[in-house]
Amino acid sequence: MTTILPTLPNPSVTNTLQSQNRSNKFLKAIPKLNKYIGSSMIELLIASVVALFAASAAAQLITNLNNSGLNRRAAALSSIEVAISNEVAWFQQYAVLWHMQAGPFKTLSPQITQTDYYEQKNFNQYYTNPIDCENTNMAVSFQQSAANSLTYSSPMNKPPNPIPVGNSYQSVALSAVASDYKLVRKLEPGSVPGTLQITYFLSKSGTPLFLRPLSIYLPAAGWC
Amino acid sequence: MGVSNPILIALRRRPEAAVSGESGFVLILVLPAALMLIMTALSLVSRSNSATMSGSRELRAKGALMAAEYGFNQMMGLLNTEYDTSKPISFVDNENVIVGSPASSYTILSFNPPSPPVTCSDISNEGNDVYVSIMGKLKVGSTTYTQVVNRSLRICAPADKPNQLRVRAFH
Repeated sequence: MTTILPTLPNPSVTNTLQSQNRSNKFLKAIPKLNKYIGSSMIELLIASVVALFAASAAAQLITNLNNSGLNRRAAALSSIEVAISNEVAWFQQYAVLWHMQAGPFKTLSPQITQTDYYEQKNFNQYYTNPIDCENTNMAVSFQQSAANSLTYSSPMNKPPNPIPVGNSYQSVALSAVASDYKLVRKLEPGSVPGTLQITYFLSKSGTPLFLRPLSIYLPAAGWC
Repeated sequence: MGVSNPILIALRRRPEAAVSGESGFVLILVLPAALMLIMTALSLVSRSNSATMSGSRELRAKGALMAAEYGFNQMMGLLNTEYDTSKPISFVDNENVIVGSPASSYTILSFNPPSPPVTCSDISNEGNDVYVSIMGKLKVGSTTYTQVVNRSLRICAPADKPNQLRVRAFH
């Protein structure tokens, strides 16, 4: 005897339809929940918990990294480098102009040069007091001029941080991202006449992180 | 009327026994989303780590560069004050530890003083062009960071002090 079997439905379509049917059954006969629906609900529940956990963990990680983690440290160190570079650039620029008597400028304020600027030339020419050439005198004289507020006129800008007279420590202003760090700088005559030594100390919560000595050559020393 | 054919009964039950619609939803949407979140977090950690590492290396490389610059400035000061053309001293290949910072040092790699140097006055720019290379080092643990700077100097001998040198310009 031949038995005619019903056509097998497309599984995906059938699933969808049966899912609807199952929902109806679910609503109509709650006590008769079958095991397949139960397992799907548990899977959904577990997956939702896993997803929530993953999302929460990711959010936690991102928060930690952004607020107190490694990103903040990298950003802080980068801003400290910028602060040092700005300072050194200012000292180098001022050293080139200090005691200049002739150079590329048509005029140059004596408030900057601390001497008379006579004329425009295609090379730089400097004035040097013979006393300055002895030992550390030139560096001391240079530092005094730099500390003088009258030197802050065009083409010189105001120094990024105050310049003390003497070798006291001066705090260097840092951006907010590096507020946990403390950067101080000390100016003193270099061991070689005609040079100024700048030493930077970086610390965090009282722990020293680095000490970086720099040397600025004063071009006026070439005219001793 | 009940269905007594066992094959039909099996076919009717089969769809429910297969992977359910909710289960498919979970697999297709929720799990990839969770995986994506986890991968995003890992990627952020990885990026942050590499940013910090490169930041630290940059900082130390900058320290080595500063040491080289320090050496260059010291060298110009020494040429102005201590160098004697009648008794030339060799600056080259001596490693000089920077006072106050034992981890930093500089070495002058090349410097060929003019012999004899051009004589100059205070109102002229005569001189010899001299090229120098200075290597700065910064030691951090077992790692040594090095940077080399190459500069050019304009050097001359003052008319009234022919055995001395003066650095009149540098670039």
